[in-house]
Amino acid sequence: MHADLTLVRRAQANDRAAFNEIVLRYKSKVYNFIARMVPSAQDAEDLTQETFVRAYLSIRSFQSRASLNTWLFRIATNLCIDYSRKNKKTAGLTTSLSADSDEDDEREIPDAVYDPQRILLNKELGAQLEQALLELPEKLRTVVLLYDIEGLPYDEIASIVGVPLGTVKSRLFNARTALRQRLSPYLVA
Amino acid sequence: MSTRLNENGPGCGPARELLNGFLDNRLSARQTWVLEKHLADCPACAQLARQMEQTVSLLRQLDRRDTSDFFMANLHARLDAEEAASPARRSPIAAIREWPTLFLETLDARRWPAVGLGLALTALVALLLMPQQGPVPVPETQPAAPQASINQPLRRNVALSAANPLDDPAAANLLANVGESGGATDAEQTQD
Repeated sequence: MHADLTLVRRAQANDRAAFNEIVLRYKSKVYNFIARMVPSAQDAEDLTQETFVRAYLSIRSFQSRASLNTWLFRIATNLCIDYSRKNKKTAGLTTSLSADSDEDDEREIPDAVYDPQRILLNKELGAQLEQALLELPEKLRTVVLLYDIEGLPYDEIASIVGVPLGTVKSRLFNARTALRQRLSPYLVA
Repeated sequence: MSTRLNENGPGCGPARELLNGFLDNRLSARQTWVLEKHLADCPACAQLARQMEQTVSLLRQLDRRDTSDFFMANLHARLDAEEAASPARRSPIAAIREWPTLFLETLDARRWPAVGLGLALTALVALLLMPQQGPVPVPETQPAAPQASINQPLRRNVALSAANPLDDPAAANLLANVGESGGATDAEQTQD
């Protein structure tokens, strides 16, 4: 946090190297979030770039009251909302199948002893879960991605999404319940 | 299966409210005890809890995705383009846009003591530098200087007219009028 602030102060004084350091530090987190908010990998990369361009242009307005992490995710979330408004017809319903199948080939199963059946099941579960995430309503998806995948605390999510803490908790519960229902054929009884 | 999970027995509602906290290890010891006791007695909620636990675990194991190898190069190209456009774009509008932010930052609660001290010192210095002034002098009633400056040439002119050999009676009347407005003696002398 302190190191972030130092970088921000330097970036605010037009130090491009400091901004570069910020990008290197956060680009993976931001991309990992956006890539599950939009169906196309190329769009996700474009939106991640746009997030950092906007951050660069408005770095002087950044206030130390929010963390840099929260600020960047707020920009990214707003861009995803704009994107989904523009692509209302297809957002959340289509998946970039070619991109996903490429990624499936590279996916590693962290805890599997070599058991082809289990590997197959985990692959299938992972693919089902990715699809289920894309089909979640945007509000629920945002919260579950920020909490369960990015590991942000409730209060930061409330600040990013602009809703009360209780709403974050209920959206998280609803998102998890919807995902469980979608995956229930694959889950243990 | 899902119909069974939707069944609600006594205590299912409160138990399901605790489920999120249970999954995130945020329950107190007492809440955990209440939930575990319910789960031991309610197969539907126990199954729900197991499946929710598994779902959350799967979510947290999802592969992390990363940007392409060209991301940084593309980003820097865009930032260069933005910077090239920046002098025209940034100077007036950005400065105006930044004003509220700078003002709000000044109002940051942590800076109030420093801001207050600064204002107090400024007020004190202004008070000391202020010139000491006595009572404001009341202006005396000034003589009608403009009136005199008009009357004197007029009298001179009228006197000249009165001295005209043609002896204009209108000039005599004018002279009488000037005499009424304060210069009568002069006019009479001129007439004589």
